[in-house]
Amino acid sequence: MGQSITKYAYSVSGAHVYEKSFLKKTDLDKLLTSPSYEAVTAVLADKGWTMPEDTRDSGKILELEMCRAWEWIHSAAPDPALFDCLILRNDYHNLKAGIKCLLSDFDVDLHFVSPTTLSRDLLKEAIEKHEFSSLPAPFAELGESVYDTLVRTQDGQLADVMIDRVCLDEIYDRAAKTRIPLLMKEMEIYIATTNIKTAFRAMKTGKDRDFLDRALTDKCRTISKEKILSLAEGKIEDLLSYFATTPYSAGTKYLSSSPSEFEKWVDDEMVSLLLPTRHSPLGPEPLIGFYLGKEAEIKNVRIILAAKQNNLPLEMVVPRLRRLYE
Amino acid sequence: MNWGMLLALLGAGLAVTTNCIGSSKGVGMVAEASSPVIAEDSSKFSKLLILMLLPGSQGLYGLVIAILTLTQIGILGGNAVTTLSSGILYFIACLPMAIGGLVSALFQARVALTGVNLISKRPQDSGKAVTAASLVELYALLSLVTSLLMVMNVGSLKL
Repeated sequence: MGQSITKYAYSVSGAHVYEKSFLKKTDLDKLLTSPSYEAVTAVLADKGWTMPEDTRDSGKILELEMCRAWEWIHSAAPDPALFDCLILRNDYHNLKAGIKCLLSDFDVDLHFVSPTTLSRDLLKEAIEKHEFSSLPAPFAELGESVYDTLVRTQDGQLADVMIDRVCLDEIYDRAAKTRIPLLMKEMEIYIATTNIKTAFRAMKTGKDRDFLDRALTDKCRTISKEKILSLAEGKIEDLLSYFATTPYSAGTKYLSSSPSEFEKWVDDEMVSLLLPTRHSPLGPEPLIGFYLGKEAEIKNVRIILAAKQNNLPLEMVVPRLRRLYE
Repeated sequence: MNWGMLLALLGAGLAVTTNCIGSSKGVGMVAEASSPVIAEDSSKFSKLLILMLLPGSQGLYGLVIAILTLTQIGILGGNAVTTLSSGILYFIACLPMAIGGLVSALFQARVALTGVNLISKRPQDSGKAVTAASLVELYALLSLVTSLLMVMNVGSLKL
């Protein structure tokens, strides 16, 4: 029991206390059977969720709750920077959304999401003034090149690929640097399944090998980029056959029939991986579980809120719900 | 230089120091983990207090062995240690408590931490949490008894 894990005594205990407010199966049932969107938000407010002024803005409700969880980790964890790779994709999303909004004459921060490691104001100012050099690496160089590419080519998809690739590489590197096995495994699943989704969609839409080479990261260990590239000009069945030989075979079987089912499988796998260390009294693992568990909860609430707003039937919603962290 | 006395004193010092390190770390960790639970519901303090105290007993056991050793080696009574071999024996006699106490305090704290989590979620199960943490105490007691018997009888050995 070295100093490295004993320093988590306070934060782990605090996370366990906080988790008592997480939605349970019975709470989800209550949300599902609520008669309207307003009734769902009322249940959430009863559970202690912060409500924005405009409760019709479901995105804001979810963002506030996610930020609350992230701020708690930041205040309680002894070394909060270790967990940055959990939210890094939000920074890259904001960079992407900000540059696109600027070039489309929208407010730069119109589609920004939170929580982020980069200050929202700093990013907004850098994009508005085209002063990407004020951003830390690798955002400075990436922002500059993506902006130039978009101005030159107007190719939004190319910009997405450029940003997503750097994002995945950065997430992998940051997770590896923490040397926390659980975090490395979680991020490996995230990166590998993102590669799988990208390769599948690219092949379905007839993209060439060069596109795949730019889009896929070669960092992950469980999916071979070389193998995917070698199959790039072949049949999509061959690609699916290759995926069937990977640790993700249980999920990739859904790819051709229902990509959303694959997404659910990935989320459920990520939560399952967290459960064995859920009750650990020490170490960073329960905090990783806390945040990713909250993320799964947010996804469920997002699905339910969207269903209530669009009057979708229960039987359409229930199969999409993610596994809870309990 | 009386190397025998030096070693006997080192053994007594080690018994109390390692146990105090283990106990302070253990009590500190459990107290730290208890604070979010108490902040949420202060009525759980009395249940958590028992868990906080449990890893503290090893420090006292170490002190008992240290005092007993001092009463045997001529510091607080008994015959002064004059030979290297009897000093080595006193040093060895203190080791079970020095090592067993340190390790058991840290492991007991770990079990107590899971107990804090249990009390936070199900306060009615506090008895189970305390019982589980108390099981580790047995091994601290075994270390204490072993060191106690060794220290008390080292003097009667004819070397």
